[in-house]
Amino acid sequence: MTDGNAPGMTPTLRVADVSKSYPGVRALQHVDLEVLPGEIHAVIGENGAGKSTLMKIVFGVTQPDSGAIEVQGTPVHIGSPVEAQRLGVAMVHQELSLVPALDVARNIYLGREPSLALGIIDWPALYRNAGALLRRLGIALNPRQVVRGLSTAHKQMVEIARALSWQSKLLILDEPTSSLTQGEIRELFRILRDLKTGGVSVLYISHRLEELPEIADRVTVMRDGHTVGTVDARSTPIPALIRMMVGRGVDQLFPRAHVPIGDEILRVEGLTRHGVVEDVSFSVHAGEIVGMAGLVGAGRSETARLIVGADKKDAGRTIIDGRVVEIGSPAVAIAAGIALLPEDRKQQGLVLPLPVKNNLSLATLREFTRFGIVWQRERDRMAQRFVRDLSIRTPNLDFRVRNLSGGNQQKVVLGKWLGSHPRVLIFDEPTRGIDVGAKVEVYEEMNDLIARGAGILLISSELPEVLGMSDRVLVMHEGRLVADLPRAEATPERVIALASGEELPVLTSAHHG
Amino acid sequence: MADGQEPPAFSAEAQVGSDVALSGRRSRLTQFLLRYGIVLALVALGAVFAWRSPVFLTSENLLQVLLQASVNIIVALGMTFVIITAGIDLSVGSTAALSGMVAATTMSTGLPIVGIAVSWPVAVLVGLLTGVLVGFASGVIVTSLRITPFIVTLGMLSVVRGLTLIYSGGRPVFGFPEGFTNLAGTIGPVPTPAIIAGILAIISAFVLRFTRLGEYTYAIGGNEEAARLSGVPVDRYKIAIYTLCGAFAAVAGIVLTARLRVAEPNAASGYELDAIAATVMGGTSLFGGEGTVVGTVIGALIIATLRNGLNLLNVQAYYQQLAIGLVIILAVALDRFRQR
Amino acid sequence: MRRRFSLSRVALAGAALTMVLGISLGPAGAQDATPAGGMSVEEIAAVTAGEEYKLLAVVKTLSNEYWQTMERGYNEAAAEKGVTIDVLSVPTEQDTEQQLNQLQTALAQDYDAIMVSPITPTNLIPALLAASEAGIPIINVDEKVDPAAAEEAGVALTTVIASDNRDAGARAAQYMIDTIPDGGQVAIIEGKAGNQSGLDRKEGFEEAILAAGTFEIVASQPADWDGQRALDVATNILQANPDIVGFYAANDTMALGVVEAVRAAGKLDQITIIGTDAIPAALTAVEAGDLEGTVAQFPAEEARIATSLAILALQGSPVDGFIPSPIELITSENVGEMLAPAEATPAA
Repeated sequence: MTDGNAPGMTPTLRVADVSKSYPGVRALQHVDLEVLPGEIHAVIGENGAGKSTLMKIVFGVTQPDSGAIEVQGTPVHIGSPVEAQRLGVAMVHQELSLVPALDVARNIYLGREPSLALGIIDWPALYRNAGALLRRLGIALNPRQVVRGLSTAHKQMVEIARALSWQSKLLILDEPTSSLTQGEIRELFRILRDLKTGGVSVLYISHRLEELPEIADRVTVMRDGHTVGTVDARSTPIPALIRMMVGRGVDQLFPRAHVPIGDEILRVEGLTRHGVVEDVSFSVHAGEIVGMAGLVGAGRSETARLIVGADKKDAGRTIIDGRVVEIGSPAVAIAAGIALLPEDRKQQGLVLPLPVKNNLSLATLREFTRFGIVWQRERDRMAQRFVRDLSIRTPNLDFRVRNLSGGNQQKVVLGKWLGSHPRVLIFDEPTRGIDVGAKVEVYEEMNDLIARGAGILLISSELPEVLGMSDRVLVMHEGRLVADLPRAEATPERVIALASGEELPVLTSAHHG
Repeated sequence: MADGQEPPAFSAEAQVGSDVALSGRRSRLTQFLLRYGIVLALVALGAVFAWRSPVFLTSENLLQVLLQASVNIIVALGMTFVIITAGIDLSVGSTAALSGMVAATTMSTGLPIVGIAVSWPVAVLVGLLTGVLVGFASGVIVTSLRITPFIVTLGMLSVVRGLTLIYSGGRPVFGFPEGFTNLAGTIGPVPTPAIIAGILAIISAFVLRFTRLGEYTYAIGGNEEAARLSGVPVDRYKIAIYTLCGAFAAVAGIVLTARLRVAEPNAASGYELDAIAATVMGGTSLFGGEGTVVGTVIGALIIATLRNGLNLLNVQAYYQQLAIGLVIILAVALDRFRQR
Repeated sequence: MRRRFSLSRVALAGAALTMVLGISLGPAGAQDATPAGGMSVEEIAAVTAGEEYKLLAVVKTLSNEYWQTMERGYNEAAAEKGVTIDVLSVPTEQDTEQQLNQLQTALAQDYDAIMVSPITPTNLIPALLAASEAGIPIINVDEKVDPAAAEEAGVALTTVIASDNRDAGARAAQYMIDTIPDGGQVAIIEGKAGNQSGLDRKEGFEEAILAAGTFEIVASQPADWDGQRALDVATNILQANPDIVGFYAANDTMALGVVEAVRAAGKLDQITIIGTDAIPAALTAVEAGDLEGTVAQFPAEEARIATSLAILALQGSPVDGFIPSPIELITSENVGEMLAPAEATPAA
């Protein structure tokens, strides 16, 4: 089909007519999938479309109710991940599963350390093998580096190295780029292309449609447990893919509505937390979306946390509606009308074991409390309203958010903050790991907020998102704000150059209008 | 937003996938067993004892089981709050001993330090205050020094036991007014400690289910960082919860003293483990964010039933330890299963 | 008897000495005592030192009144006999290793002799071996070092002075046999499962009461030395066996719990309860008639005799073998003597 993979050659993986039901739901229905040797095959689909279930079946985590799986032409039963690995199928999980306290080499060979007699580990061999493997993959990492200090991208590379240390024929990557910066993504793609050259097949799950033409050969689209079709990755336009995914057209990926920009509502001056954020000043106006770009670790999330008082600042002040407000804790920030939708919704945004309604009311519980008692009916009414308004798909208000999809979880976080009637919302990676339909809903909600006079700070590692949604673009580099550009001046190339420190800071007038 | 308008609805046709239903649901039977499995365990245990002992099912004996569970229930209620916050309080046994001792000495020699003679209800209040102070101290240390609760309360276990020994000179105190020992009497046929435990259980259940304190207890345990970022004054609530736990331990210590008619410096040693066992058996997750009062009460009843039945059947000491240990492991296994 | 009435020993004097040395040594002494050079236990107790010996005493834990009393006994003996005694203790009876560490550390300080009460029969053996090899006399006090383990390790114990816990149990049984002529059902409240003293007391009681032929042991259940647990266990036993005539509890904390169980059942008049240790609360209960008796041990006197034994060993005339320490059943008849002194602790 592409890259000279002749049709008719034995596929590395073939999934034929596979179905799988869970009590009350048909997760997969008659799904077909074929991955050729040396092919990078993307699987896309909304959350709940069945991608995860399909990957679990291929990796042996769960078994299909019916259908057949072939690996390199041989029908197989994959009863467990260990069997999968023995068959040459390896998986890199979205939630990384490394042991932080161990070094790179030990993580790669964890549980399979080369050993001498009496179970004594052959350390020299371990480090030698790890070094060779990393070199072969072109990963510039020291095998003795402890994993704890690595960036997300590097951790992911360790995971890939680990997966490939099994002599894998098929590598499954679940949303590998969702937390990587542009540069890191380029590096990842280079490694994947090398693997491809070496005959390894890659099954690539992604939400980032725009990267598919660059990396994938073919794309299989899933919807509601079915395979909608498999198409060529380079020749199929993104809107067509979206139409296949959602079963309808999406007019615009970034449906930015423009509203008149009003008065300044938030200004920070000289915000500093030593070693993390240095002397950051900017402002946000009513009706304005201010984008914030930068590499992972540039201090963007940290800046957000300082603004809402989640971390202690060493210097700087916050001015809201022209008045200096000392924000010492998130509670004060909420009272002052600032809301932070944190970067990692599972770690910071949600209380996963708690029901939808409790999460929705967490920031505003006082409003429903009299004499310390939570008035359930009022709270239910509020929760019901947000579930309806934000189209949160949950069976009921008592459903635990842990069991919601990523997009719906993000909407719960959003609902929680909308309830506090914020004037300034800081969205930190609001669309990470959620599907296209939910992304658009989040964007539309942003439009709505600015239309009603709120201001938004949008922190995102997805450059198209920042450029597509913002009125102004701030760029951070190594803890400092290096640019404050009007949208028109913010070209992708320029923002990347600024973020990576290749272009010198252009911060002349931090405070517009 | 500032003018209080409601956000508009998203487009109605944005129905995407059936993501909720997909997320690995369990069958109705499994759901039922998970929620009520612990009740079934209690019933099964009762059935075995009823079969083996003619005495077990008499109302007299069942009231005894209730009585014998009371002190543990009271301690375990406080423990439930703490464990739901993903914390633990190992000092409750020592706190019970100190509170009972302070109440006892107050009755026999008057108020601490000043030595003014007071009536027994005042002595009880002084004992309660002691537990409150201990719990408050644990809470403050946990939150201000950012030391894990396990270590802080392990230290407090020893510190408070030491204080009890120092305060009492290592000697038991006895000889209490009848009004006080009536705390361990009966009201009608029902043992007073069971009534106290019942009232406290109802209050605890209400607080956990219907108050802001309860909501925040779950939220802190479920995700402390998310709670903090949502404006929950986490530290203040944690201190309140450890204080509450200390107060419950104090009530337990006072009831215990009334039951035994003696306050002993070594009393209630190891009671923290019974309380943790009851709490965890009742389905409260040691990882926090989950747990119910009903579960804890049933957990405590299981322990009491087990001990009662083993006594009735005159099971040999070594086998009793074996049986109790196995039941605890089974219950924790159930908890693990719930996590999946 | 004259010189023993030193000032600090007022309390012990009245009750303990008379009974201990007069009454209880009769039968017990007949069994094991092997006084060196024909010395009686009274004579041993009265020994004083010619020179300022530096002695070390290791007790279990001062969180327990029994050991507090023993510590006091050592201090009094030091004053009386003109020696120096340092007393070591650990926080709880679980701290077996800490006790060992303490002793090992202390051995570096050149004590002339050591008097040790190990928490378990074996936990101090490594340190005792070191002492033994250094030629330091070892007096084993109250809790016996396992003789087989000591021999195996090469530890030489100079003298052992300990209460015979089996005898304590037997005395409780004897009281029931004497006062309940018709016999009947009895029950035992045991200590923590696996504890040697508790086991000995239980077995001593069992053996003696069954020998009478008229008694049946319907239950023997552990209450872990805990008052509330004993209360609950006794209540449960009463539920299953309403005709019980007697309870023996392996310590007084538990005996007092049993008293509350029996009181709640309204059977204080019908059931004989005997405890062990003679703690003050138990003596009060004996006086009130709630508790029929408690087997008293006299740790202060034991400490005093142990000190004498150490001095004798240092003077070159060691007493070999085993000396039973004083024990006595306290009932309503003699409780007055125990309670008479101002401070109502058993031996002080």
